[in-house]
Amino acid sequence: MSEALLETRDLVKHFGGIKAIDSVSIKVMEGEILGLIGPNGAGKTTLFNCITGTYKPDGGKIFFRQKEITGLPSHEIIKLGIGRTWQIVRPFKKMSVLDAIATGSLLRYSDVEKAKEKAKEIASFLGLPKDILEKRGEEITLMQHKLVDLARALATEPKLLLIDEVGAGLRPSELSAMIDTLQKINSERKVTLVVVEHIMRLVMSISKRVIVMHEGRVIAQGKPEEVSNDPQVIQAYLGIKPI
Amino acid sequence: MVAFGTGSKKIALELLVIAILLAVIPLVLMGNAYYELLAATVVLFSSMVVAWNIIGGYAGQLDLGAFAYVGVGGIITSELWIKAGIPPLLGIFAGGAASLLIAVIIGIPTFRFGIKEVWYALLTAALVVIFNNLSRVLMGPTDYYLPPKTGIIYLKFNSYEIMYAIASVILILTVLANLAIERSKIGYYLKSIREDELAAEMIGIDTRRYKLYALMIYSFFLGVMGYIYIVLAASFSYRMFDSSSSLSIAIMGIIGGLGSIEGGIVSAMVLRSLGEYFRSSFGSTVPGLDLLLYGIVLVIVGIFQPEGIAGIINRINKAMKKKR
Repeated sequence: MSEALLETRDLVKHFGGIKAIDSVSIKVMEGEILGLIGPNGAGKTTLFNCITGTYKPDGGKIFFRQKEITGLPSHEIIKLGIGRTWQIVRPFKKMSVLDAIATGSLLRYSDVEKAKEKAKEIASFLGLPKDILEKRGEEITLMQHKLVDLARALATEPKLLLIDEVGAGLRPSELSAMIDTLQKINSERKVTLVVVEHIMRLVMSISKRVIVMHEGRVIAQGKPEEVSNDPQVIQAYLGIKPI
Repeated sequence: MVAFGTGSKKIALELLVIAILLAVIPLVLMGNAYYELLAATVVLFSSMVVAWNIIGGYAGQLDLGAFAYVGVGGIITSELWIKAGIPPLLGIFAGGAASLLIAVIIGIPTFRFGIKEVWYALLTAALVVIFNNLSRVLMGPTDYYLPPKTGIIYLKFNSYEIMYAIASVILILTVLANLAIERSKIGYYLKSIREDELAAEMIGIDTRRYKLYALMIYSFFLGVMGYIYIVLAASFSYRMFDSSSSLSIAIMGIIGGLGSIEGGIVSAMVLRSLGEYFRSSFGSTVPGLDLLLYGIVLVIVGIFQPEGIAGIINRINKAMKKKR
């Protein structure tokens, strides 16, 4: 494996008295699909929010491509090559799907026509049907929304994409398609992925490496099958000591 | 927003429709000075609503401070003429720049501290009240009059028909600015901020900066319009900083449909004309009836046509496309 694309060192974020993230140090290697799992409230989304500058960390440092990005404004962090999506989709409802994706492309291509061209290319890469491009954000299905969110993030041409529970709410058949799509983004567009997920089927099938968080801390990391047998992980998920 | 097809065809068509509309109105109203004044005022209000569309429609910031900028720009332009002899043809740019400067001073901290939605609305509404009080202290309660000179360098004529033409030029320039914004990066960025500010940040948009751009363009146009407003009103005083007029600009913009140029124009023309009718007919017995009218229309639109007049225009367009 090559060098770390993203690294956090002793990252801390608390809300009032609660430590949402408690001294988290992780490395994301270039080219990998890293699974980030843990029960609700483990701090996974907070970690994403700290990395993208939505939250200012209370302690620790974040490095992206060897450059410190701690405390930078979001738009600068995104420009350096980080993208993200959310568990609950955030569509631009009153804009056409094409315009929404093109708005992402405008970060790298200031010309609107060029941006739209790029947007079309990304839409077809993700397998979005052509007829939905002119539809408005409020007129499409959940699976399409998730793909549009991904497309919009990909349009900013990130090196690293943080994906938050993209499987939530999808039907089994849609889930399989989503797994294929994520793998395609990773292998063909050379985008490193960090995938937060509750659905084990998704994580286990695409991640070679998994980090488990619990109550703001990293409690285990390693290969999916190792991690799923780790006593601490089982206890975190099931709340009982393994026999 | 899609209204008259796409691309440059759309622009040409849109301008043509507006130009025809502007040309037809005087034919109907010609000869009656009161109607001519009314027509000029209505066109000027339409321009203000179209300017508001930049901050309110594209950027989605519910700005209720229009007449803070109209007042500053208008009074600065007039005072430059009265006190320094600078002709308003030049002075309006200084007036616009003064409004823009105010917008920057207000906008930087406002957006820096993330003031948005209802708080932004309240802050901008308060701005008008602050200017009203401040200027009453500075200017006293008197009405001020412009010098009796007329001519193009003063942008002031005794004929309301010519004032109507000037207002029409301003409307067309404001529409052109809107179209330019809508078709360029800034327009896409502003709309995405309106749709979801956090998502906009996550595709690398400096949302504060772009909101400030929108506020600057909007305030500059309003500042320029301020002087024409004074010419039509024949005098100026601290009362130019008027809360209900500021509110009515936002209401007309919302009824027209956020992001819709033609919707805003139609809404401003209809509502302002009706409002004026109410004011002249019942103003002495029931003051404030025009605002009541705007309020009622706003409620009706909110219930039955939340996308405003633009929604109706879009539907007609779709129906026409299907027929073809």
